[in-house]
Amino acid sequence: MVKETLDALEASALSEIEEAGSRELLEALRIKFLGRQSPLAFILKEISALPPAERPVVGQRTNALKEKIRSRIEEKLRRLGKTEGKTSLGIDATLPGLPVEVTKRHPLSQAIDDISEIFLTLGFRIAEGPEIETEYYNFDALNIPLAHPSRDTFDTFYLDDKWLLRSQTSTVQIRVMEKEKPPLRIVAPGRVFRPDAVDASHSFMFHQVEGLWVDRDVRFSDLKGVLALFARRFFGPKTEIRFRPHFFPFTEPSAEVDISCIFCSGRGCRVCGQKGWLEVLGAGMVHPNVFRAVRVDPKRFRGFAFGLGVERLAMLKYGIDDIRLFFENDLRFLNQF
Amino acid sequence: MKVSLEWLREFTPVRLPVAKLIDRMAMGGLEVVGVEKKGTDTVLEIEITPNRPDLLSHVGVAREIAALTGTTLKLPRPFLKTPRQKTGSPGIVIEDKKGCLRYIGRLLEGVRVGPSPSWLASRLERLGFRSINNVVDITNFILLEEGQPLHAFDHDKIAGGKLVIRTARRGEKLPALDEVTYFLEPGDLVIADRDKPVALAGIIGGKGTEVSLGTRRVLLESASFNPARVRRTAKRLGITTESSYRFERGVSLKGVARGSERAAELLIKETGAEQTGVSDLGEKLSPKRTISLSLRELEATLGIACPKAKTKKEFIALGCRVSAGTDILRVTPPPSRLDLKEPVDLVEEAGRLLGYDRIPATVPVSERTAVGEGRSPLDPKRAVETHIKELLVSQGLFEVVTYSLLSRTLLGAFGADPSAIAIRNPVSLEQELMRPSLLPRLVEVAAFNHRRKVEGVPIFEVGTVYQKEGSRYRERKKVAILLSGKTSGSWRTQSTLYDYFDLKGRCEALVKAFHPSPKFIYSSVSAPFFSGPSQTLCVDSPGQKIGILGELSPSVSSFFDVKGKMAVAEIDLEDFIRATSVSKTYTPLPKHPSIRRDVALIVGEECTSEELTRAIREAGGEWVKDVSLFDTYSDPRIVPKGSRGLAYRIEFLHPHRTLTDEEVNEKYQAVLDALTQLGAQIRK
Repeated sequence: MVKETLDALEASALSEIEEAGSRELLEALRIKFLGRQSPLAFILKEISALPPAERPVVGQRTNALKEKIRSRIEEKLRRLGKTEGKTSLGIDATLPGLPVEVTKRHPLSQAIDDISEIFLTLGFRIAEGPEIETEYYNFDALNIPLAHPSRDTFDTFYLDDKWLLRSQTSTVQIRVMEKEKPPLRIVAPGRVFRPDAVDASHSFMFHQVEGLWVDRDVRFSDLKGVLALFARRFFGPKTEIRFRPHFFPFTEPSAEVDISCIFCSGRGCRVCGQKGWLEVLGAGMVHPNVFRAVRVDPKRFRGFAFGLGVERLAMLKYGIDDIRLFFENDLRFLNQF
Repeated sequence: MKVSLEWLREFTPVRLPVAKLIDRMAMGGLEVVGVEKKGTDTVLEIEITPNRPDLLSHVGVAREIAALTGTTLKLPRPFLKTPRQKTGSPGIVIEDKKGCLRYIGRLLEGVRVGPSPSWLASRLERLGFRSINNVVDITNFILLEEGQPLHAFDHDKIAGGKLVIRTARRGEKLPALDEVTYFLEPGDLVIADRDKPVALAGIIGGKGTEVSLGTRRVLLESASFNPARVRRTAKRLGITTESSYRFERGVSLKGVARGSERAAELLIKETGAEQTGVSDLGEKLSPKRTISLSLRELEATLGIACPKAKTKKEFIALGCRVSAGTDILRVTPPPSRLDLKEPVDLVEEAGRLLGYDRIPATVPVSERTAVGEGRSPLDPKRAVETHIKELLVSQGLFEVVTYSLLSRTLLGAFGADPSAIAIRNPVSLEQELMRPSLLPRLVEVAAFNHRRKVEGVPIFEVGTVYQKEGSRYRERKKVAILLSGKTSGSWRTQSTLYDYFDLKGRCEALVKAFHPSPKFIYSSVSAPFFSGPSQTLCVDSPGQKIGILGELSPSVSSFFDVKGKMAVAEIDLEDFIRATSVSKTYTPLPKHPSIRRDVALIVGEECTSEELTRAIREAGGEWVKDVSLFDTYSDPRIVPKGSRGLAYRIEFLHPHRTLTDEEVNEKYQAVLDALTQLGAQIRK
């Protein structure tokens, strides 16, 4: 008896749905067949009046039919092409998802981690040193004598006659080599300070990553190899590097290292000043006087060191044209990385 | 250093087009930072590193270019010689032998001072020098040609006619050619006549003995002064001259004679003068330096084969004398190359001339420093630091990086801090002090963002703070959090204003991320910049303080022109690590269900949540696993004025069996009694 009713209901529902030509009609059919006043709802409500053996069969059949009608209506709605996200239940699926705040690490902090990570995979280890230093660590031990003009390139903040703010992370070379005997491989990220007025390309505080590799048979060509690898991993696999002779008191031979311009692939553009190359870091073989200062025999050990400016690298990598943006911390800026 | 291409061509035939030349120079270590066309001439501005004073001259640059491009070098040969004996005329005494290493004085008579011939004036002007008169211009010309600074005195204005090179006497002063009067101190090296200083050695000449139109007799000085002494005096007086710049970097003893001879020659030719006397005092030549370079060492350092013959040729091109052994080159650098002192200096020269671009990029073969020596690749402190940063970002906070230095005014907004370290030589106000706390700069960032209409500012920084402790300076790492403005709402939930409890939750979450079951203990905090809720956070024991948190007082907010509350926390990284490094051990998961009971209370406002929680735990006994506040209410229909409503959920759990309702009810009643004792009214 109930079965026949259900069969008849199914037949009429499906055909009416098939014939319905508008959203409104379908909504009316939804109410007619699935609403609280519908025959199906009635059957489910009154199911207890049936003999116990029939109840589960009827219950299942009724529910299955409800589901079938529901899906037919939806399918038809979809076919009508007017659904646009609205389900038969009136929920607008095109509403935006509930926002989950997405926040970011600071680009400098990301860059320091990215840089360190590259060297960690090469067996380097991270070292740190104090930012408040003495003349000895910042200058003397690094072969920058007091009375020499090479000191002029390192303008320095002083706290008093003895203490200063390190003007380069090379101080960590000395700190580490005083405590540990070679062979060793370290990178030292950190803050450095120079008394400069602030503008788009100058800052009185910035970050460097210092690298040092000391062993018996380290060569200048190895320095080139390691930095070439670094440049490719940091800036992309097509990046080339170039060494130009330069002078740093704590290394010899010394080099300024350029990468092929990442903006024009070396063809020449405004950023690289039509040169096709961008200067990114300084490097060289550890000067024997530095080894002497930490009582390492320069006849037994050789090493290379390099120092790179994190802001400079991040600015190049992300196309940032003003160093002050890093320290203003506009959240809309930070959100871009 | 500006050089004229036309001038360089007098010494070496530069055949490369300018662009190619510049490139070759750059790859040889001479960076050209400016190019200027001047008529038929081209002026190059070269950056000279402090180790290469020999390149502060056209002769030096020409030698370098000849070596780099393989052209021949032909330098002027002075016909005038410097006799090796002291003639007694002009009369010169070196009193300070450490300050003055060599001094040549030439007396030239019958000088006709006048304007310079045009070739001379134009050459100087092209290189940025003002033409003054033929005598002075010739000294500058030789400075530019040879790199040897010279000075011309009007001999008739030298009191007593004799010069002494000595240290300055207390109270002496020198009215100088730049119209400034310099006050001298003992230690300053001066050239003096009978009565007074007439020049600051190696820095600047005196007005009183200046060569002018009426000058007939010129005393031409060419000398070598102690670089450190020149540097010290020039620095103290705040002047840099073409002369002091070169002396600070060093001139060779041989160059002293060459410069003197070349200048005298030109003076004779251009001013009709006649040389009537020469004095040459001090050391004549530096001791010969011969450096032995092992070719094997050279190759092992550079990582490329360096054939003996080729390397030898390169050193010869640099003006060195070279003799070769089996594995060795014995190299005697030219006197002007003061920077070549030990084998490594020659390694650099060999690499440079060979071309760094010819050196291959190799992968180091050494594996002695590989992992496995028991050294952790990552400093554990740094690992925690990174972890903290990632956690805070996942909590919806932006990481910021701010300056370590700040102005007195900025720090002052938080109250005076006598432990702040002052910078002795700041160049701007915002570099006056080192930050003793991360908070001032963080608040500044919030204010900056609010000004730019960013409504919600949830930020943190992990950074170093600096403090004076007695006579010592200390650096400590801190983590600071700031919440200000609106939370980000959605179409379903309205945004609210960040407050103290948003902050407190984040601080606790940070601890919980490291510590499996921390006990938070708060005590009151005394900080002038807090008002409203504020506490000191301790973990596990009241002595284990890790930081402070609170809402900033309106005086701070108004200083930064921020409306609304700002909640800030500052946690010491080392204290945090100490408090959270507890070993983690597994506790078996409960096998039996826990039973919950809720209790709603109305209490007086003086009664704190902490007291209530403690009372519940104590009365509930050992089976109380957790007590959590799940609601607060203040509906005036239920809660009378001066009171507030709180609702707690208590979870009971027995470690080994299922608790019965009766057992729990008994404990629950004890809890209710204890709360009533505290003056709480239990809502049914």
